[in-house]
Amino acid sequence: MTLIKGAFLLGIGFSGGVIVAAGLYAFITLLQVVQRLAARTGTANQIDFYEDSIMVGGILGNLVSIFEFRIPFTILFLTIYGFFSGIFVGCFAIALAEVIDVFPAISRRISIKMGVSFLVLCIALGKGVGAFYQLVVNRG
Amino acid sequence: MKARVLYIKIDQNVEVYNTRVYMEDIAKLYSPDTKLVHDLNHQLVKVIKTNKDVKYSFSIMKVVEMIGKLYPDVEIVNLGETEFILTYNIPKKPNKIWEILKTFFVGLVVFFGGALSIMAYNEDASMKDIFDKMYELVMGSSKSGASIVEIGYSIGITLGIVIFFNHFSKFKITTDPTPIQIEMRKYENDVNSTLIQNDSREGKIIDSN
Repeated sequence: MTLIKGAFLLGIGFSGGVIVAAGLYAFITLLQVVQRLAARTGTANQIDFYEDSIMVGGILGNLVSIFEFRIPFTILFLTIYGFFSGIFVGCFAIALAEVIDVFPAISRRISIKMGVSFLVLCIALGKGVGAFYQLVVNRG
Repeated sequence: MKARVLYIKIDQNVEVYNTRVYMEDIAKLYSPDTKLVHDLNHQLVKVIKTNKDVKYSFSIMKVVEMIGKLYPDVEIVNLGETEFILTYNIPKKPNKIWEILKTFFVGLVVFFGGALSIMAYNEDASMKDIFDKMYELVMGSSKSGASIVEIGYSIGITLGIVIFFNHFSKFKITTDPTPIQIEMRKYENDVNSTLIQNDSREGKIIDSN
């Protein structure tokens, strides 16, 4: 009986994992984060490598967050993790706003003709300062 | 005399590396009259007078006009794009180390990004609580630490990702291109058509007359 229950739990976990993974990665692909990074750096021919990277990242990240492994590299690892995942989330956040055409809509409404690159800089700085305030200055 | 037919096909984005652009660099031509094709292939289309990377929007009308002037009796059939982009790249040796560095950099970003997003999802959706609850419901007793559900979930995550991306490293599940490859093409097409439309809005397309 315990065996059947165990198999049942395994099945639930497994199916959940498949759907969550497919859904989350479909979302990331839809937002074109990887594509943009590849296009900006002119390395579209390395797409296969990027896909492998994001897959291994997802698999290991899930293992760490579910089983709460100890990661041995301390402060150096934290710095690298923070920096690179920060870049990723930055792309992610803007891409999310862009999918629903926030910028075209706003700039049409208030008919901005110039200075769009300045606005983009402002958004980036705003996000950076906001994250810093929330995570570093005013924790709570 | 029977009119000669010339079939012409030009891709949406044409890349050239020489400042003197000939017809054969941008277009594929076919005609039963092979001498016509041969002569046209060596026809100068544009001389690029700059020493940096540039993009020009071209209209097929310009090409048709050019051929029409040289061979008024040729009937031209366009089988390709009506507007296309001519990209001039300065011929330069690709810097291998820089390429590897860039690839490595993007690889790190997507690696940690992928890790962070799945961790964020697990935390945000309180997956641990869900699994604890599930375990209690099925087994009738609460658990401490990881159990069979979490193991199943982790295997599922792994398989789901591999199935979604349709490959792992050299191993491929089907011959379809992967989702990111498809989206990459879409993105490049979007960029090209935006360039063309922007230029036509500003009247910058190199058109006839």
